[in-house]
Amino acid sequence: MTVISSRPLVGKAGVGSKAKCTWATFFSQPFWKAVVSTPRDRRLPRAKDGCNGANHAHLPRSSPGLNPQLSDSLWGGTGRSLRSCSSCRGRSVTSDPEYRHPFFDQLEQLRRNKTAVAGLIIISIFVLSALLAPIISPHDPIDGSLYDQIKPPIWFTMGTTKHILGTDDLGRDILSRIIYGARVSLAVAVVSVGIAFVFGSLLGAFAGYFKGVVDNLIMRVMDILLAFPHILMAIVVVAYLGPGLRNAMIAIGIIYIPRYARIVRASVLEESEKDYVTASRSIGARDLRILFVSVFPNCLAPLIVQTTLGFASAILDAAALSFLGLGAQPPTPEWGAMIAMGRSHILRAWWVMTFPGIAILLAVLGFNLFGDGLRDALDPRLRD
Amino acid sequence: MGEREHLLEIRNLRTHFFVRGHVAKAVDDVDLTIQSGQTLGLVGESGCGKSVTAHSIIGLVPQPPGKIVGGRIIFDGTDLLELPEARMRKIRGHWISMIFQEPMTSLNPVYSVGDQVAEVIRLHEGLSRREAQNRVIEMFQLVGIPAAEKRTNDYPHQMSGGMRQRVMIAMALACHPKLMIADEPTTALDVTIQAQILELMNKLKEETRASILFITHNLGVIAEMAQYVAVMYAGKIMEYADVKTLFGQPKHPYTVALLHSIPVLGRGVRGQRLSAISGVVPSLLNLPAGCLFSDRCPDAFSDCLRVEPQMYELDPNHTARCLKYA
Repeated sequence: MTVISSRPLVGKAGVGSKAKCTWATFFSQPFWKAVVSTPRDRRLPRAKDGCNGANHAHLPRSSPGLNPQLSDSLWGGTGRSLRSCSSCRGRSVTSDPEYRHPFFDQLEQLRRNKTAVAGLIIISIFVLSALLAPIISPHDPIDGSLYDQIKPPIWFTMGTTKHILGTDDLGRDILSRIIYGARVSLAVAVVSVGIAFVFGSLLGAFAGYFKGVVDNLIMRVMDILLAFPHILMAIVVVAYLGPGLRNAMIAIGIIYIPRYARIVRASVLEESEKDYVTASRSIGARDLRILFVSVFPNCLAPLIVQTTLGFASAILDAAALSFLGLGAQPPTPEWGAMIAMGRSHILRAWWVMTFPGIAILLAVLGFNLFGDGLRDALDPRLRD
Repeated sequence: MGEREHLLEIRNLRTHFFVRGHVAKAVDDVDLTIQSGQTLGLVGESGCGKSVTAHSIIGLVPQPPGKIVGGRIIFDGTDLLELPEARMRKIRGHWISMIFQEPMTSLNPVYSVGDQVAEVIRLHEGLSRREAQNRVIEMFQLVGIPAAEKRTNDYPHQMSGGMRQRVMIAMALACHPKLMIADEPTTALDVTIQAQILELMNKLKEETRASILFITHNLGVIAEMAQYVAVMYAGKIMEYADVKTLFGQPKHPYTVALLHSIPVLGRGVRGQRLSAISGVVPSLLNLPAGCLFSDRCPDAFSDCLRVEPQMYELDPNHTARCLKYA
């Protein structure tokens, strides 16, 4: 049995430098394990000082069944992979108490990416305001006051402290409506991207794994869906299902299916050529098990990036549909619908449609920035 | 079951690949016999059909483009080629298991190695999670993975090539198979690890009394591992003999040439070129008439270009596909 004696914690090389994380390693361990098991100080980058070379002696020594002298010399080079600390080359990774989960390298990568952090902050603000809407919004989003119609924002002489961003033509507080609107937009984003994710992944996975006729059938249908301008397609679907927020979610979900199908198909095609798939088959696993248990988890990284970016487009498309009167119906506080309502007052009350517009812009920007940062962090080829 | 019973009998196996209107005869009329508890070495150059033979046995030939067009593979009394897929799945991993060449890619990167070995056990023996886990630790100890209990939680990228190959062997042995197919298991490893793995496989073969079909292009490895050797060339078996005879009195000119191409340190004259077999392996899409080796054979005579040689018996347990012995 291996004995690992205690030794000083040794620093790792500058975090993010030549860190070995791939899309695969990101998901290779449940990160909560690492979060739970890694003391906080170890997550921080530290100088490579504690490593004096002498403490390299605590390595797995014996192996049952092998000549002890022989194995002593042999084990020196086995059972471990090279890690990033230049002075700790050849140290065992696993039995190493300083072993660092690749998740932290990726987290670090993400943290250093300023735009991604900005995106995350924006997203967090929207998520928080959606969650805390009843607490933080100063007024009810639906009940207006006829005394307060079309009040300008606070910094105008006509403005009141009661309505920071002004009111619309029915006297409803715009800030409150925007805060409640975050709920609607995020719900639309989650539901429609969820629909697209589930069906797109299934279709793409089958197409990529079974190839041939199945592949052709599925992907040609996807091509047809992609051939329509997607907002037009959404309008057609909503027109068929009837206007309303729920149907808008379904419509957006449907028009996003091809994107996910394509990404998953490409990854599955690539992954199913690998040896571990043959190995899985050689132990007697069924096709469906191989596809969803072995192959699919290896395809998740690009999907996650696409999902984050998908939230942004879903918010945008939901707003577009609502603007056209096909999505959220009045009096639901939805950003697109608010713009549509404020359109007629644009010359005398520009704030009625401008602030919801800015909300859409910020939300979409936030998800896009975060999505791009996530892509950089997950794909080592895009680093530096 | 008798000790010397034929565990696996391959008769006239023909696996062809149909690519863009051409037929590649990757395996053509192959006969092989493996006895229980023995190791059969299958040697040959790259692309001679060794791996396709192995994949045919375990039913992993990609179809299309591949197809087993004829022959029988009798394993323990049943013809594997006639079994429905569902029965075949029960045999794979349980009675016949496989070790692959690349330990880097043959393990799934997103699962811990322990889980992957446990999967085989759970698929075939329906053990509970905990029982399977205990079995995995036992297997890891058996294949010489130090700190087995800890190592089961490792992911493939945390292990070295040798360790990963040990995991593959543990996976292959987990359900006590009767036949292990090792498809160049040491090609991707450096020589020290290679020696360890070979030693381990020999030891485990003794302990579990499994048979091994050992595929390699390394004659040295074969000499160490196998009791019987089949030399394959362009989809056909060229010579079959026990290991001593094959290395001591090789009969087929191809085997002789192969053995000649191994350089020996200290022998040979300085500045002299290493001996090699002239010419190249014929394309599987366009095989020559007569003997497949005729255009590279130093002993070829006129008949070799016309008459297709059969397997001629020289001694009991020694056959060669060469017209010299017709």
